[in-house]
Amino acid sequence: MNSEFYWVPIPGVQLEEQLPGKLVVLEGTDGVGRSTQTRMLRNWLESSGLAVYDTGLTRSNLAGRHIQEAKQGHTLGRRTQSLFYATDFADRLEMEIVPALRAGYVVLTDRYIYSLIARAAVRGVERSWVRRLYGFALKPDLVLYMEVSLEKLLPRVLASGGFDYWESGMDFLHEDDMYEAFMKYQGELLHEFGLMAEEYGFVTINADRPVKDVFTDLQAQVRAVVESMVPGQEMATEFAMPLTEIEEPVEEKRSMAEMLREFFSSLMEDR
Amino acid sequence: MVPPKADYPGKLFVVEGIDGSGKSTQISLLYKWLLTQGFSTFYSEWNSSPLVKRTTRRGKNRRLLTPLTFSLIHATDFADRTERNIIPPLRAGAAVLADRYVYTAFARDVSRGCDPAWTRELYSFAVKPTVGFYFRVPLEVALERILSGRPELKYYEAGMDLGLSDDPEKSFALFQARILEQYDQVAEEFGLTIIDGTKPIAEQQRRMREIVKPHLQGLLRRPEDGGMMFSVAGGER
Repeated sequence: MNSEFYWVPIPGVQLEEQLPGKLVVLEGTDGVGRSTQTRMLRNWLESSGLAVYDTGLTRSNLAGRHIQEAKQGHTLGRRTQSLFYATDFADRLEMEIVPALRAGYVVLTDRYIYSLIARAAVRGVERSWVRRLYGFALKPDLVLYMEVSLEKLLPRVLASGGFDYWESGMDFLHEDDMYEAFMKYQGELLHEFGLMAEEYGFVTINADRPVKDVFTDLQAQVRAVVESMVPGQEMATEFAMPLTEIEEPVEEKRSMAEMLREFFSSLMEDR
Repeated sequence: MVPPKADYPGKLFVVEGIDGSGKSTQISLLYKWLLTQGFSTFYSEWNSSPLVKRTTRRGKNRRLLTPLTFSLIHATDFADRTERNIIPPLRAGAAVLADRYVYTAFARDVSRGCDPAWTRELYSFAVKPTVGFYFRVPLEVALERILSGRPELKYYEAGMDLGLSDDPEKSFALFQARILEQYDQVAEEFGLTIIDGTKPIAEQQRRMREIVKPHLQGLLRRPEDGGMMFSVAGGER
């Protein structure tokens, strides 16, 4: 990939003009099926002989844990929260993403700066400021935006255990009714993603469809980007549900519990 | 930077300068003076927010910080302090004192290789101080003060992360020289009030009080009974 940044280069890092890896981003609101698709893409790429590094938000070695703790037990203002996320993202970018790209991996990231920008903007942080804040981000080779309509998101959310306070923006919306809050928050997030689609050159994938159809579209896009990494070789084409699928509900439940705790602590936050 | 809003009746005084410039001594003298004058005074230190402290400490102890994350974690801390310790007392009409402010980041982060425009944008939410003091001392004076009194330099403090020298003292000297150069630029760009840090302590303090005094009219007063505000004002000190 070309090592190109949105605004400013990462300080103190000498990057070659061309990095052997590729950076592919999956974006979209909560419940859109990003993690399932990420796993399926990973399976497919690995079966085609490509090394895949997958990563997500708030998992960095430096701040990830403290962000989770901060959301549970302490209070963070909106701008502080944005900056904490940015620190975490920067750490992941420098310590994981860039080294993996240098080593020739396909880096598949479940969300990138765009989710962080959308969340901050919805919470009232200036759009231009957050965009410049993330000016040190590498321009990905491909940003797949899994777009979903609010109506289609609803049944998925209900199926996964109902409305989550955090995903309903209850931390700042002051709505009595969670349904209202959810519709409003997710609607605003979708609006923010819509604003970024053209600006950041998202490839929009209609995610209102069955998993398999969405996957086929994602696969075609990713293939175009990574094909050059396996010259003269046929890439696997078959569709297979990932082996790790079974683990998903456990993970979901845990994060639901976490989010609930986040909500209670966020209740204390707004004054 | 954001000019103080009309509904911030308080005043913000900040001190800046390289290590060994004497700024902390001066601001603590100013703090005591303001208290004895009966003003409600808040003191906010650089890098003191309890929330972010743990991440910063972890990053420093394990040397996990890069110039970028060093800059961002300090900005996070600063945002937290702005939201918690700076804006509320300003709104209440108190005098707020800060030992180091955004200019520290402008000087230090840029010395570490961060883009100057990006760094300024990062802190564009900061409240513009009523007076920003810059304690200017020649590099040799500052180095002499620091190196004679304190034998062990911390890794990031000495700028060891930049690989300027394997010797902490040499690295520190080289790093401070870079910072000083940035500070001089920053002082001009933001119109900081320069205090000659080589003058006797009492003389510098007299000058500071002279400059601060006209801004004190109408500030919030401490309770008549002299209710000790130290615990509140001192925060995490």
